Amino acid sequence: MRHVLSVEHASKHFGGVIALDDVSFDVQAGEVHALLGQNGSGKSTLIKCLSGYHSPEPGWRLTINGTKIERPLHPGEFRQLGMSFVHQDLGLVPSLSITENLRAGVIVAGGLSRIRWREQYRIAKALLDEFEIDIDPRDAVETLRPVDRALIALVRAVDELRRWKGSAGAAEGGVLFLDEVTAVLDRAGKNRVGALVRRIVADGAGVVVVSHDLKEMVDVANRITMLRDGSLIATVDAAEYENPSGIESLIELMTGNRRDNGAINVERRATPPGDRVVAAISDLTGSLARKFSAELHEGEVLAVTGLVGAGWEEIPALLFGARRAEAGTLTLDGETFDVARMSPGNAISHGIGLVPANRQEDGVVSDLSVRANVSLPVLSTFMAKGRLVAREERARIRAVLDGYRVVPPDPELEIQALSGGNQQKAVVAKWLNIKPRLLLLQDPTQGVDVSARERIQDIVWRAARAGMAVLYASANYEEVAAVADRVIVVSDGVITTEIVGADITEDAVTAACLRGAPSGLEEVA
Amino acid sequence: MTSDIDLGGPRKPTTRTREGGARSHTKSRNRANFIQRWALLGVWVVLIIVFSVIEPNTFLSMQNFQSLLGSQAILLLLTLGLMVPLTTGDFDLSIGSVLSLSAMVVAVLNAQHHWPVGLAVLVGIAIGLVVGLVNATLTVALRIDSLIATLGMGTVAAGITLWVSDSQTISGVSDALINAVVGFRLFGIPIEFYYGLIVCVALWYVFDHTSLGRRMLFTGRGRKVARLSGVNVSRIRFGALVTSGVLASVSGLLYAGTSGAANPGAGEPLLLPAFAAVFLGSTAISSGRFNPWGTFIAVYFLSSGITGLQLLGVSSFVQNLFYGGALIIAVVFAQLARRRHARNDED
Repeated sequence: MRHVLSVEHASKHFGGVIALDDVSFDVQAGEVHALLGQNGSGKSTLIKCLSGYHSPEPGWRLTINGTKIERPLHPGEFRQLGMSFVHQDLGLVPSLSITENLRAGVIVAGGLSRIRWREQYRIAKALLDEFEIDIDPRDAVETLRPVDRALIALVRAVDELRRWKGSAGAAEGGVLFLDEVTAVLDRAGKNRVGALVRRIVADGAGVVVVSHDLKEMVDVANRITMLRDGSLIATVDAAEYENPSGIESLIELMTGNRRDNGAINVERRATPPGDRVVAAISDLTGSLARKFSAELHEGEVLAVTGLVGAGWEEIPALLFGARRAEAGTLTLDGETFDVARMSPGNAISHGIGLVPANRQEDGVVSDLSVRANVSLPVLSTFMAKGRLVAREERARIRAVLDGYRVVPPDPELEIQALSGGNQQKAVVAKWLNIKPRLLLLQDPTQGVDVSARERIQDIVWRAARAGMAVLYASANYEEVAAVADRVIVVSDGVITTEIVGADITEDAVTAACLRGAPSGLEEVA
Repeated sequence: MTSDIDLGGPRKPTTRTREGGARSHTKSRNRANFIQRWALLGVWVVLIIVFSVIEPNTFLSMQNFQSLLGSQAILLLLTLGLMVPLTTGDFDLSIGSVLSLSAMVVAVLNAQHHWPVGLAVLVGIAIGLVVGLVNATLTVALRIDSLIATLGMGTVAAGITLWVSDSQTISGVSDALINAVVGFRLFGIPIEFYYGLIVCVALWYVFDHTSLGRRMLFTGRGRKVARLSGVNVSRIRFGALVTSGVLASVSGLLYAGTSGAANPGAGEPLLLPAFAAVFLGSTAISSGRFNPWGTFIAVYFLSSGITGLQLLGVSSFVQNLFYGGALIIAVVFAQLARRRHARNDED
């Protein structure tokens, strides 16, 4: 067999941090090659070196469809070399038709010449037929199910590669990169995409897939290259792992034998949470999560986690009414609410707070003052005789900023003048200041530096022990292990594993997430 | 309805770690802010001085100032109304037509059908209320872009005005209304100026000294943040569009009272000046925000400039140049100020 892509000695440093350390791998014609590794293992950096987004360190050698290159690629150069990328966001224009999306490259290149729509439809239809996708190419992409959108994005990439083959006069070759394209799809959708990938490689292309779903990777890939902490661990044959213990072996390969991160939390676990149930979630169903039920105790930090797209991420937003739930109830100190009818205003008045994931969009208005941002949910408490008492507001917010060590504790600064970590501390402070009974957090330390991250975890943990219940949704397993008293793992929308107390380690959480459907570990009935 | 809140999950690491801390150039920034706050007022004063020197007999007369303050009250009220939905993040392009319609309805009912003036005035206000309610329903409940919804409603209102007036100017409005608008003078300034002033004070109070004002600000600046902080953004946007409708109809009453008649095309030419004044006003006083006193200064700055130039004998095209130019300059300034802020935060 001959390879369509070969990467040798790829390294990338960011300042003093080595993100990618002398990694080599190759992809054969007709092969599906899986790139596996945890967050921070270097897969994204590697992909970005190949798309020309990052410049790798000197010394790398790239052989792509027979062309040897020993310099960094220019952005966009990958197209002439016969590479095509599909990322998680798919890059489709939802309001345009499938034809317009599929044929965008050709249509745009046409300049002022008339577009022959009937012909374009015919070509699009032929493409869809070829890959057995039974959809009318006149439909708008926004009307499609997520799985069909993913298929359309793949077909478009395949078509691009074919046009490259035509212009390069190549009989075979071309490399397609699929970067977490199936993350938000259910099992059936993943299988459908997998089937399409197998067809694509049948005519001599190579496909590189990145996903966290080990089962999916074992099913679809010929070979698996495993990265850890920026280094190449091994390239193995996927067939060897197609047995019940195979997934476990892969998990071991992926996580390695690291120290027990659970130790971080010894001091915290010495003071256990209370027994009283503060909040009970029952049969909560959203667009991904199905029939999620859990009880939160006084003083407890309950983490919900899983692979991206598994459904755990929407649980805080559903409970808060920020995202409409299909069904479910929340019982808070004995009072039961229909979550499907919850609104943020309602939630706040019942003592629920939400620290949202995307600070820039949902957390702060960056050109307003820290004071205005933090005081918004409790503004009415500063009203006296129909007037906002500014002095009281300023003093109160200043005290809050001091209390949570927001630096600088100047309430009058525009919040964008603070570092990301301090902005996020201010957001957490804003919600603790409403004295919630139930605090919900969505990835609260995203894009935050390490020291602020630890500080935020500490604030959350102390606030919990002071008597509230905390639901902490995060995909950062290290963080989950550090902060949680109990971890619930969600896979394909349902709870698959619960890990309690001293059993919580980063590796245990990671393994439970990767394992998905229960096998071995204690299963939650 | 599923909202679009970002659920997070791992993503490309952001390398935007900035260290907080008081900046060394805080002082220069404070000075820049001070200049920006008071620049418009300063330029207005300079403008008055220049015209007073050039035209000491006409421009620099008490009478000129008194008439300027009085006659621009209609525009002031209309502009203050517009400021409300702009603050909460929606446009209202129907205000000019609502002014015309409410003035016309009062004139038709009172002068042609001999309704009591009080009742006619109530109907005039009710019209503003209804248009505001329709605008708000289209924009907030049906989620139609406010630009389109209010453009449509404004055109409908203009059509109704032409219909009920038969495209004629209707005169003969009761003296009671005229007296209520321009019949009294305080310090030589017609009473209508003080109506505008009262609304200005009221809005200033709401914007700066109530939690409602703060919630309005957040609704306009960060609708998702506001919603997630428990602000009922729909209700606030709804109320804002109703307020602008009602204030536009009240400025229609001032128009009918000032001229004793209603002209079917009275309000539309005021739409652009209103936008120019609100945006120009947002560069002053509370710079970067739509604010009542900035708006007040902007309305009178623009009309002083135009009056002065007209007294110099410049023909009436200057009005368009002045208002159009002011709108563009105002938004360019606002944009540059924002960019300067953004740059300061990068380092």
